[in-house]
Amino acid sequence: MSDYLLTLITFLPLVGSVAVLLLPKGADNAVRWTAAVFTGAALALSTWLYFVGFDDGATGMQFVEQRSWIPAFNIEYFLGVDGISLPLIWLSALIHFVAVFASWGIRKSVKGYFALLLLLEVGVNGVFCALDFFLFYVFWEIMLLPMYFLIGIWGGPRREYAAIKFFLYTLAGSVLMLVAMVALYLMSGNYGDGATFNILTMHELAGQWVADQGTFLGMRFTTWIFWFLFVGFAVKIPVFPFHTWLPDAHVEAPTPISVILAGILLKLGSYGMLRINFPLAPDAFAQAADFLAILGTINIVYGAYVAMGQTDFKRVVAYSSVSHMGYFLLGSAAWTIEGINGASLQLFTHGTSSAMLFLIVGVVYDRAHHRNLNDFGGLAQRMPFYLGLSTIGIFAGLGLPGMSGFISEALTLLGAYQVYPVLVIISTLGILMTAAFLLYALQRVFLGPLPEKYSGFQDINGREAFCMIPFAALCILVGVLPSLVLDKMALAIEALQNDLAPFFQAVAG
Amino acid sequence: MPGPLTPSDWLLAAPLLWLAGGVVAILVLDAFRPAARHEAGLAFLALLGAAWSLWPLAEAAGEPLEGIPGLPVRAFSGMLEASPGNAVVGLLCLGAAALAGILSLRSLCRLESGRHRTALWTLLLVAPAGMLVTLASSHFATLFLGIETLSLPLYVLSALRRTEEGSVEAGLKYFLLGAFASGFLVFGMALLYAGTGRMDPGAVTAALEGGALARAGLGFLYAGLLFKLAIAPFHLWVADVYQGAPTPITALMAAGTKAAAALALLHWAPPAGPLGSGAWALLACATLALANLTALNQENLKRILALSGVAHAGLLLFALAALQAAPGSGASVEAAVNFYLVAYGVSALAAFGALELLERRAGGHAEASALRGLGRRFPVAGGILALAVLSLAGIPGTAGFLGKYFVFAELVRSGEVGVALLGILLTLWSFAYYLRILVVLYMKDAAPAGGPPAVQDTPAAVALWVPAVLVVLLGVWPAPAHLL
Amino acid sequence: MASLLAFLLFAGLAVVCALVALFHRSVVHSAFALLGTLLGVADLFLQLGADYLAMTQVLIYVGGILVLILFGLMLTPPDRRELRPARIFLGLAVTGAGALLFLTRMDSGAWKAAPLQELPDLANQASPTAEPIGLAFLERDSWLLAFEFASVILLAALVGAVFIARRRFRVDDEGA
Repeated sequence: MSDYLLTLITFLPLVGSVAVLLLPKGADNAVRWTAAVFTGAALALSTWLYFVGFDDGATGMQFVEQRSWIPAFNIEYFLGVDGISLPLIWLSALIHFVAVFASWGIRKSVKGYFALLLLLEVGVNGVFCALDFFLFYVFWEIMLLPMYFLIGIWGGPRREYAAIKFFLYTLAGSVLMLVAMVALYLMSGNYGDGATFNILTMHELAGQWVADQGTFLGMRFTTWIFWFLFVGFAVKIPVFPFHTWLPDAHVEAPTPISVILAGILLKLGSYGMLRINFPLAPDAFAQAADFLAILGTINIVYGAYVAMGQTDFKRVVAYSSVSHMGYFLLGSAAWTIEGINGASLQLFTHGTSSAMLFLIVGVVYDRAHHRNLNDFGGLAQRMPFYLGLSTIGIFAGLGLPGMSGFISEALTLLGAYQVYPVLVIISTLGILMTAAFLLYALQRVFLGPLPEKYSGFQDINGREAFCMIPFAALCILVGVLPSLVLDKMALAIEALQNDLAPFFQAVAG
Repeated sequence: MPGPLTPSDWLLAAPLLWLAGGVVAILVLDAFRPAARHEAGLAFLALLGAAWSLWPLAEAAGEPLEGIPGLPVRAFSGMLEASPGNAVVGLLCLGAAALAGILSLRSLCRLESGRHRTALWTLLLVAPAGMLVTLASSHFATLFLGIETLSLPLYVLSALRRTEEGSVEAGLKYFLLGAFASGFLVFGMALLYAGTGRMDPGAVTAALEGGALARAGLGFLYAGLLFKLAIAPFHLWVADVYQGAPTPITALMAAGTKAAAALALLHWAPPAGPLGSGAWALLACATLALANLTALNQENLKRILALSGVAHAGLLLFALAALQAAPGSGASVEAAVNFYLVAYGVSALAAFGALELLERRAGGHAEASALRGLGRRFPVAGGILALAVLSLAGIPGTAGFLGKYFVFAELVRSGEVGVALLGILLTLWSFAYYLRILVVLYMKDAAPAGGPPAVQDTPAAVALWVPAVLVVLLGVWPAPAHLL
Repeated sequence: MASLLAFLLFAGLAVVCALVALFHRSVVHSAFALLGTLLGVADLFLQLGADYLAMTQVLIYVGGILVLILFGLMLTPPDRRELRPARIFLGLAVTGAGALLFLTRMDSGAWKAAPLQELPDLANQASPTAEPIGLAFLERDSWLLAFEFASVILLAALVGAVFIARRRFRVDDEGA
């Protein structure tokens, strides 16, 4: 089985998707349970992969599957997992599994909804497993569509606008990626065994094509490629100024979709940068690093600043995501071991904490049918259990020591401080503001007098608790035992850092 | 030199014999037993036979051509010439006719108590015969005959709903403009023959080296072909004709005519030379831009899909530009074009087929307002239409994406990176109206049901799965088709 | 010399009849004048050694198209506006310009570049051309496919014509 493990993790949800479509009309519960079974199976397999199958001590790709797909262009079906993708694969499986349960209350076209949700997981898992750029791109686009429909059909009142905005932003990004991909493919044709989409081979060739590249319109070739890829991935992260689709998408998306969007989709852009963007155009990356660090700082501070001014609970959380994803950029731009470790861990910890925060928003929205923070208050009296879980989520989000967010942010800032001390000091402003707006939100929802209209609220039910508890547990567990994740990533990140370090030295020297 | 027919003659003539035989059988039986409903059965039998006889050639698709003697097949001393990839496109044309037939079973066949069934089924057999001849033509005679044979039935079929003004207008418009294009074509051929003394594709090369008259002839020849392919500035008829014609016929036009005309254009394309790639690239970009611009303001889904077809035809010209820029790339460009045509063809068939089913539910209208929210009410037809639209847009995982990818890859490989970038941007632009179809189908609340209840059409619903499955299959597993 | 005389005679016949067809006030007379033009052209073909073409010209244009025109004329009300001289002179001007262009082109050598010798040299053939043409239509190596396939398109045209024609009858039936 382990020969096909990654294929199974990727395509089991597709089987589930087809199965859901084949179920008779009206069998909504059967649809939900089918989705739960297939996402659960993917989660079980990836859990096995994470804790048992994956060898922490081995370098390079594991569970590799490689066979020819489109021979005319040397395109391969090439999957593999290393320390960078492993935590994200597991996180993706977990988040989709939880999202199925968070979606239990969806009433509109249940079959279509779950089929799309499962298809979305195929795309996401595929992106994390793919080691052939073309395959990567195909999964990347496959992911785009279900999301478009999930927002556009099951979203809030302005769903069409949000869906189309999401689609066009992401599409514009991926077209740039496509162009860069073809250019890389053609460049790789000058070396070795002919043109290839193999990301690992391209990675090995990167040093050579940096050395003997030409220019195009006055700019070096890798510089073009770097920026095309960067914008393509930055839209997804999202990096300022490409972030404006995110709040709209979040606000209009139904809760489980927000959870997926914040929890895992935003990580795809960052993952793409680590896997493709940085290694394949290393010289341009080293040159642009300062700029990226500044962008990251802007993300952190600007996101937090805007979040402070929001009254819509979901918008607050959405902008907090913008702020948190800035750490990834800052940490990786510094390109120190600590910085990259922190940045990668941040992907994981933000995945858990932001998923949790959106679930928290979902709970009050389901009861009050609005998200206006100024209109809440005193819910702590009626919903103590909810208060407890929310506190964990919010504390993890603001990076309280002992929670997961603290470790990743601290590591990131530690790593970045060696290179960009000023930017790190500015970023701490962001930490402060994050703490401020999250605590302020907590206060406005839970404390103070309870308005009469909310006196009938029930505490969260078993299903809601079932969705939130895994994330709460992870927030604490990773906060206490970060090695659970860091050990998996260590070797892969060290190798990557070593590969690219000479380019940074070249820029510095 | 008289002689018996060779095996390769039979190979290329057999599908035509099947189709012509079908026509004769239908007409003869119709004369003697007018009450019997034999037309559909005979027509499907003929289409099946034609496909069966074409299969041995199509089967060789995907093999490297150089290794196989006797390929591409030349028949009737060079009147026809076909590679295995061409045969696959030929199968597409036959499939398009079959699908049009199946879609008509419960709609067009029942118009006016079925008194025009004879015309419908015989013409549905003649049209693909013309397509087969056109796409394999390598002589002026076959090119002209092929184009006329595919057009004439379509003129009539477009006007099949004779009680509807739109349908009649479509037929008339198509006929008048088509006759004009035929005039161009034949005049161009005459000038080329006068100028070069040749009637094979070599005339094009000779004309480029020859005098002004032959060159003028070349211009007329391409104008005629570009009209059939609906390239700007000869694309203005498309939206009206596609909209007015009955949707099953539109599907046949979109998939079949386009494929046949495109392959003919490729066969008759000039080798790399004085014309250069610039002209084709310019034409392609202009077509894409005009089609996109026009499609954005359309309210009728059939018109949007028609203009999407125009844009796709424009994209094909990029392949010609690539051929011009890199003379040695003939085989791989042809492979890309063949794949592209099949990919577009199955997507268009799925799109128009599904649209036909939805249209019947919306009281015969393809207006956006009438189709609101129908994707959710009718998940299968809506889903197939959505899938087809995604493929037309070029989303990875669908055949349409790989088709576009192959064409752009040829363009980049030939060194025209700037043109490729422009083309990709123009393609991106087209997403705006593809998204609109999806919005109409899924994100709007459903319009109140109007018109008489639609007849349950099981054959059509089942047949639609074929192009739908092919869209996905060719999108994820193009290996058997990529080297057509 | 005799051939030149014959050429002038029949070419003149063609031109004069064409002018009559243009200017005569009665359309029926015009149609009959057209007969002279067509026959004149047929004779020119004959002189060039294209006997088959000449026969076809007579059969199709005189026997078919001209009769069709006569039918059309007889069955439709006359429309005097079509006879406005301005249109006729415009037509003549366009034709003349075309002819002029043609002649100058011929002079400038555009034709000489063409390998005319590859054309079947019918003018010097002593034997009638009908036989070789007929054979060419049925020989695999020349026009068999085109000849046979042309029948398909004619059949389609017939079916289409019947379909379109039947419509008119049906509408009338319904109206009655």
